[in-house]
Amino acid sequence: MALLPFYLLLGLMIIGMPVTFALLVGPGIALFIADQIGALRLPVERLHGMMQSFLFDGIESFPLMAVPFFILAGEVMNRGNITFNLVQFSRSLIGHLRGGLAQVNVLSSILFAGLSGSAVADTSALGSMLIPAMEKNGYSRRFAAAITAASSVIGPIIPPSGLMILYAFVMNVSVGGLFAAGIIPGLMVGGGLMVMTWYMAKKHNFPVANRKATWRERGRATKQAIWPLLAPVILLGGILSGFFTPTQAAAVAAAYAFIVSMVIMRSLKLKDVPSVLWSAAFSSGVILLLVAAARVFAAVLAPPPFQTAMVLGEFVTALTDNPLVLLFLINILLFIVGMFLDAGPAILILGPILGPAVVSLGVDPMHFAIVMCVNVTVGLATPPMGLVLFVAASISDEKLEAIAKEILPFLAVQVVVIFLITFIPALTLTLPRWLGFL
Amino acid sequence: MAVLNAIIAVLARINTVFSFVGKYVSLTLIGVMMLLVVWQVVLQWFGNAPSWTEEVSIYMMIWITFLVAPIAYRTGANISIEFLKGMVSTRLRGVLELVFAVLIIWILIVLFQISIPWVERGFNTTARTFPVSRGYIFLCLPIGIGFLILAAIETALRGLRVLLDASYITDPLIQHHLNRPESQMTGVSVERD
Repeated sequence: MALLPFYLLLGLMIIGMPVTFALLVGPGIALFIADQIGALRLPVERLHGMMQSFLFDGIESFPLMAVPFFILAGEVMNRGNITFNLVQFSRSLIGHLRGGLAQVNVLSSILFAGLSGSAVADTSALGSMLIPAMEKNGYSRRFAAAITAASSVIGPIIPPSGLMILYAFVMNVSVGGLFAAGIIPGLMVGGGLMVMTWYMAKKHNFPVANRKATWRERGRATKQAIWPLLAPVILLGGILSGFFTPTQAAAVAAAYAFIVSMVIMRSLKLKDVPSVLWSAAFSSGVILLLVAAARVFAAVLAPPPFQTAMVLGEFVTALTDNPLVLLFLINILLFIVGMFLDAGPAILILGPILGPAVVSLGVDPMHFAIVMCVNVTVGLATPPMGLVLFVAASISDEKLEAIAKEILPFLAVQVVVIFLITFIPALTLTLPRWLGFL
Repeated sequence: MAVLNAIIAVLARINTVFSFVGKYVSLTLIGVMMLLVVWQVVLQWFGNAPSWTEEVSIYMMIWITFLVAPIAYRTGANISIEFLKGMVSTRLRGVLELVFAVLIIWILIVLFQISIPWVERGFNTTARTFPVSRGYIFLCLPIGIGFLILAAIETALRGLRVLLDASYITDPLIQHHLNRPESQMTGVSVERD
């Protein structure tokens, strides 16, 4: 009985029902069955009422509001062409290296990650600019798409991060702490990708993008990129110093992006504003309804007769009492889940089940949060169903299978990073400890 | 078929009007929400931020969620696992989508019925920090779920029409649903009407 709703959810999702509705229909059917066989202790209407009110109460949260604001900020920066200046800046620094544009792609993703919390936004913003440029410079289009998709994974790992806000929300962890914890793993992924690119560039004799920029040219590029480069400083500085909450920071980031792109750079016109706002409202609505549905699912199944999360948690802890072995198994599970399921739903559904079980074995909640977030984010770029692969395919007009093959060496790097941060907690926990979150 | 076409036309009209209104209300709300929270930060700097900004912006966010829900459903923007669906024939896939729609409509009707007395009870209380009845705030739920049901019925009937007559496969709404992954999720700047 306990696992019935979970099996229903799983079955419905696998045959393709939208996750949001599977989270409502699954418990709906389970309640119906339990009611028919008389297993419910409460009248079924009461439980339906709970489902209904949790749709509202489940997202009635100020911290959660950081999600729409960061989506809005990303959308503005995308449309306002702020990305262009970041790419020019990266190019002036490292464009002269062998494989220069591939390196620029990774470095721009690292810089972009400090403004945006979404891998999809990263792929679409950088991809539409860099994939054509790389092809013109002599790279194959599939490789250009693959490095764009692979490096976009850094977006939700380096703060701000939409995923970490979701995790913090369902698991009651500090958002600021998670943001701090994500910095080193994000830089490790970026650094790893750059080393791999360097190796491949030497082996396959990749082209050089431009001659070495003079310091004067670098100065000019820095001046043009200074506004977007300042954003992460304000954001993270504000959050980590406790000057404002992550939600307030996200709203300020969105307003800042509007000011930079409309007033300073004049790259966003007033007539574009409604469509920017609508894109953000739309994406936010889709995610927030998913959050609400996940909260309904968890709320209905916590009390008897189901107690689904508890039973699943007991199952997980019964596997082993060695936290390292458990983390290893969970990494494999998450990696497989990430191949098929998007990162947001993976966090919302599996976080509340796996989190408490792992923490009970003595793993730090913040450490586990980062392991989980990095893992499901890498899943976004993993064939066959990684979302950023789809986006990269549609932007580059290249077959998904072709990109999937090219991305494998970069995925290998990311898997190594996942295992490093899993087994060396200091990589994630040192910064939050310094900043007083632990 | 004529009856089916007529019903679809009526539903499409209602849903299009809702999509138009919902779109402009929610894009305004997200803009206002941003300004409110920035305003809160500015006032906080001077030491006296009003508490209502927080509560008002939260309710705006919830309204956006439920105004967007029917529009997102119609355009097939909700996240799903496409792996298995991609392997079966278009026809079987159509049948699956119909089964999903029936189940979804069922649970939504259950939730809709419960939301009405819930809103009525809401009218007996007011918001914590500003003098508006919670009933008005709660209204987003029956409105969102109600139009979600209509959107689900329209989409299901369009799917049924394709199953009955394959030439309807060119239906733009059905095409939206068939080409899901690219238009999914955050940040991709596709125009959505």
